[in-house]
Amino acid sequence: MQSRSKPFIYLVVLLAIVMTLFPLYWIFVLATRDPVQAFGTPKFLFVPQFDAFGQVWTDQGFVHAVIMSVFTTAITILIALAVATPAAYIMVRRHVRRRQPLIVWLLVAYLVPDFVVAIPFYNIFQYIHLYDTAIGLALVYQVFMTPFAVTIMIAFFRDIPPEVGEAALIDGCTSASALWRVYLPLTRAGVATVAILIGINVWNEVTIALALTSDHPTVPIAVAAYKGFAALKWNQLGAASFLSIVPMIAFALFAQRHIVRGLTAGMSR
Amino acid sequence: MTTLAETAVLAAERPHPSSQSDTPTWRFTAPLVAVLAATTVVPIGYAVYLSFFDWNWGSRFRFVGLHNYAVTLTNAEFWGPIGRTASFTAMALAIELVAGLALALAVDRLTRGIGWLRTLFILPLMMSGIVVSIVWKVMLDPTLGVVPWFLQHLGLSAVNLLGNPSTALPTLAFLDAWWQSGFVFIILYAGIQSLPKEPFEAAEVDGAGYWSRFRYLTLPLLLPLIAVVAAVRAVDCFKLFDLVFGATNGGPGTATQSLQMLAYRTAFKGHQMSASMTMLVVYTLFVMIAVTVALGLRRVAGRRAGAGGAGPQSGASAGEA
Repeated sequence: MQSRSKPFIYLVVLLAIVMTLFPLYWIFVLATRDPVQAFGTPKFLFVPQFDAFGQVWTDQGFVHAVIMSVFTTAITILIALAVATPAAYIMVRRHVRRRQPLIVWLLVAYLVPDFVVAIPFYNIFQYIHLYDTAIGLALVYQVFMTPFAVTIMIAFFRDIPPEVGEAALIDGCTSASALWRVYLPLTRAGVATVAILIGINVWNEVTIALALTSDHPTVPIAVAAYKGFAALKWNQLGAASFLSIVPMIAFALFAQRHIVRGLTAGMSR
Repeated sequence: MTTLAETAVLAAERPHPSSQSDTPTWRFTAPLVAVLAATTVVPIGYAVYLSFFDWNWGSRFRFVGLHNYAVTLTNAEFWGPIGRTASFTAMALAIELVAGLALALAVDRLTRGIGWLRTLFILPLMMSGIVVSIVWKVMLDPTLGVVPWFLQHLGLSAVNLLGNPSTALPTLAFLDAWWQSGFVFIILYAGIQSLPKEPFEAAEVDGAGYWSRFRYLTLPLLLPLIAVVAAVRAVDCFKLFDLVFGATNGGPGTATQSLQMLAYRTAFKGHQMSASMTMLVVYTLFVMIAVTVALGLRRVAGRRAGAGGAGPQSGASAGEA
């Protein structure tokens, strides 16, 4: 049995590897092929040209989109962590009376279709001047990011033995300072996991950013501007796509453990 | 997400002793409640409020009561996208669960390179739906794309997959599967890793082959986890927008117009704010009802399994905990 099924297993895995990598390689091909030659037959090996990257990065202001996305991502992570960490901590360490309604509320926030939140905020933000700003976007992102952050932080707090915090409380610490001095240093991995997963989500988010930005688009919205280019400038489309995924691929390579831990923590039963 | 509730209940089992002088509980939850209120109650309340009016973003603003709801619920333009989103979800879910499970089972039997494979298979998850859709759109381009070119060399006729009304939606489901199967893989692989070893060893001693072990042990033991993964993916698929926006813009015709795409167009292109809000409010209710029913079914199934008591079922929950 073992020996008969091995080749089949290798075949499945190999097929998955090729299927996963080919489109990623093709983004590179699109970005670096000569735009005129690109309209001939597809080629798999050639001398790459990197002109399109410069055109996209400076001439078309992709750099501004990157700055906008970096700010939006950082602010979203900060708010989500600041809000979710104390709540997750107290739900693990104390009997919170309205826990069930709070959990249902988080679930509802996660389920809501993006536009039922984004379109009303389109109006509201015009009045309070948060339209087209990183802070406004980061605020709206909390609707999906806080449920996520609370779930993951609960999983990490549960891994800490209660005795650790009890000792601090007996020594006269308040719960707040126990969270700050005892628990947070012990859940650094959890904080990193939340930050990384929210970072990936926000960096790639389309729907809300599309509704709530215009002159200051985030990276995905800047990439979406090239979809009209599909007919002619494939190299710029490819370069913009490539630039948008490079930081995320770096994340995947260096933070694989955190990403996998975060994804499974959201699922753990 | 169903797990959120259970996690918290489990967590409640070991509360701290809290003295009178300690920080009150509400101080820890207040920021979360405030942010949740600002990002759910405010916009959804405003959406519900607007759904009772007739507003075109401009000066026309008058109370029409339930008129918008009557129009929406009797409009074929509303039900079409709902059916389309549902069939997209069914197709994408089917491909993702089969591909993710097959890959998890295959990788489980490898002995080397597993870390690298996990990194590789989460790469598509690191991409924006916009990038996924426009890159595949270029690859599937009927005249210059690499996929039709490749199919022709295999002797197959090149079909315009995204341009044909009957293939466009299944193609989008395939794109979603390319994008998200890695997620199913990661979760199910972790699930397989944490299954108890003893039943498998016993079955092997009894002479059970791989397929019967899969059929009678692996699959039933994994089923609760598969259900959770399916639910998470389904919730995501119900929100379908970015793949449509990047690859087809709802076309050809309305073949790939999802509910969120219709709502976006109605609000921003048609300037019918109230109509858009009404659709979204009704759709949100539908999603809530679907999830409540699913959670209810799960509770019933869980109770039945609990009554059945011993054996593999209880082993599974212990393994995953």
